Amino acid sequence: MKKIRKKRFLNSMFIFFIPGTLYLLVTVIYPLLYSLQLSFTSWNLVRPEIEPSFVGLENFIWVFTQSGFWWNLLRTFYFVVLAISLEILLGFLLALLLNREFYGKKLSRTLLTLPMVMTPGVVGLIWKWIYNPEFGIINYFMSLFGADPVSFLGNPDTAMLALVLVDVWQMTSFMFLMMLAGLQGVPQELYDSSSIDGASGWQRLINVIIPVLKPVILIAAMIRTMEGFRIFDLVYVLTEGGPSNSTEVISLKAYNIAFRQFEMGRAAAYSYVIVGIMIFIGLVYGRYLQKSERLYSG
Amino acid sequence: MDKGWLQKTIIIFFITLACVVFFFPLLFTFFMSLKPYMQLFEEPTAFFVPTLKNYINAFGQRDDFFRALTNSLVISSATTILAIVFGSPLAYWLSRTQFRGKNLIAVAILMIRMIPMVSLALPIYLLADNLGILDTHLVMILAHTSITMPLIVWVMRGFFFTIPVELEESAVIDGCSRLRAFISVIMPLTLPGLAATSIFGFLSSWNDLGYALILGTFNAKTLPVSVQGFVTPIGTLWGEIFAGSVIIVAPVFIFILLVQKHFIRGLTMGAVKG
Repeated sequence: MKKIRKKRFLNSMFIFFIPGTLYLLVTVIYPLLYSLQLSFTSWNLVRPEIEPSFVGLENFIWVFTQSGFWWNLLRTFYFVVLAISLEILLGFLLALLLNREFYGKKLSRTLLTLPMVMTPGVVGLIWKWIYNPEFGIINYFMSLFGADPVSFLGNPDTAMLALVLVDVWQMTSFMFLMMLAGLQGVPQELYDSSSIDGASGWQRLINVIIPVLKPVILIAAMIRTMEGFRIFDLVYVLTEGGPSNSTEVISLKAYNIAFRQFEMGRAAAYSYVIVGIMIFIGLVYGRYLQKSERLYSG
Repeated sequence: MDKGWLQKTIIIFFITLACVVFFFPLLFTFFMSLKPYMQLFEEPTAFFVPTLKNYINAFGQRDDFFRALTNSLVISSATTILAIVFGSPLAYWLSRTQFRGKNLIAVAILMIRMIPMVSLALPIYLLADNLGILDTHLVMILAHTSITMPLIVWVMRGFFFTIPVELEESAVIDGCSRLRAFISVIMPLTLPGLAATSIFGFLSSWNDLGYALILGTFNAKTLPVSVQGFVTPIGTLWGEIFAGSVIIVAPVFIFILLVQKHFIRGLTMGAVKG
């Protein structure tokens, strides 16, 4: 009797599982399988009359040997490491600053939240003006000190740093909000007991706050790292990969192969390599996360 | 006593500084959108008489921008609704089922969100081309729903965890079907969560540039794509760009201000328990 009821219970749960899963199967899994098949063919849309032909692993070999993949990967890596570590640092400092009661707390938290909800395509355009060598605001301030105008986005040496700065401006909000929520989860007793023990501010930071915050930092860093590796909108608007390819990150390269060279097979192979990288990052972080949670719970 | 006062002042100083740095570009954009065209390139401190000319130009010069506005509204709203209709039952299932692989499934669904844009947009582009639905609202809504749903599932799952199982159990004992209990007992309880989730859904569609760029080139063009059109080969229409930016960003800000508490709760739900 109980078994039957349990079974009926589970059966009735199943209807919640079906619609969403079916949707994702049709609109995500099926296209991904289609593109997997595509990655083993040679097909250029410029000449659509030539049918796709099976070429085995040729596209993947092309990606690793002739597409400049390693350079693009290195550039992306540079961008991600720089941007995410700055975001963690700034986010953490801001969270520490705002984790107290003061007049105007709500307002300042709101102001610090706004950048992250902005449209990246719009953020790119606004910063294009801010960076502009002729009438941009940064160069205006620099000119007050007698400096010569700098074309931040037009110079291969500074373009990537300029991109990093925009990303930091926009996404520090995210880190800040995550860490503020994490800090508010620190039990007050922990603060109290550590101050009774006579711990200084620094000791408390290192021995109490950071260990408690570690899982939150890891999760936030994981999300941001993955987003960083797939960054497209901002780069597309600000530099389009230039000058002289200095900001050509992997997802922009994939876009260029697909929609500027119309090499569908190669683009599919390239994007599968990126998916592989994303899964790898997920696994690495996942391991760390498991470890830190195990340590934390004793 | 003296030391405490000094410390407080330093803290307030840094908080103010941070707010100014992070808010400045937004304020700047708003002011620039009101500047007369001839004065755009003057010194930033120069006096000007505010005008709405840039806004009129943004809508007037090309009918494109107005169409993009309606497109964006239709696509983002439909995406939000569709993603919630498909996503929240799945989230509910994930929060209640005893099935062993549920965590794996939850992570797999989240991973969909992390798929690089081109990896998914390219096959969808080719398949949509075959079906003849390229550059329609339909394909944009379908694609945006696929990338929005994972987010919604993840956030809603967090909200469902906070609702005690006993509630729906008693409803089922009273003769409700599970579906009935879900619709009339559980969903009303998650209304604040649903509000936050809708914001996430709407933002994810409203802010997207990549998919829109590839799948909606003309008829289904959305705002983020259309505003890029003000960067023309013969020159950049900065006045229109600033006005357009304000139009794109303003509704988002209003939304966020209205439900900020829930937004932050939803954002941090997956990562920070409690």
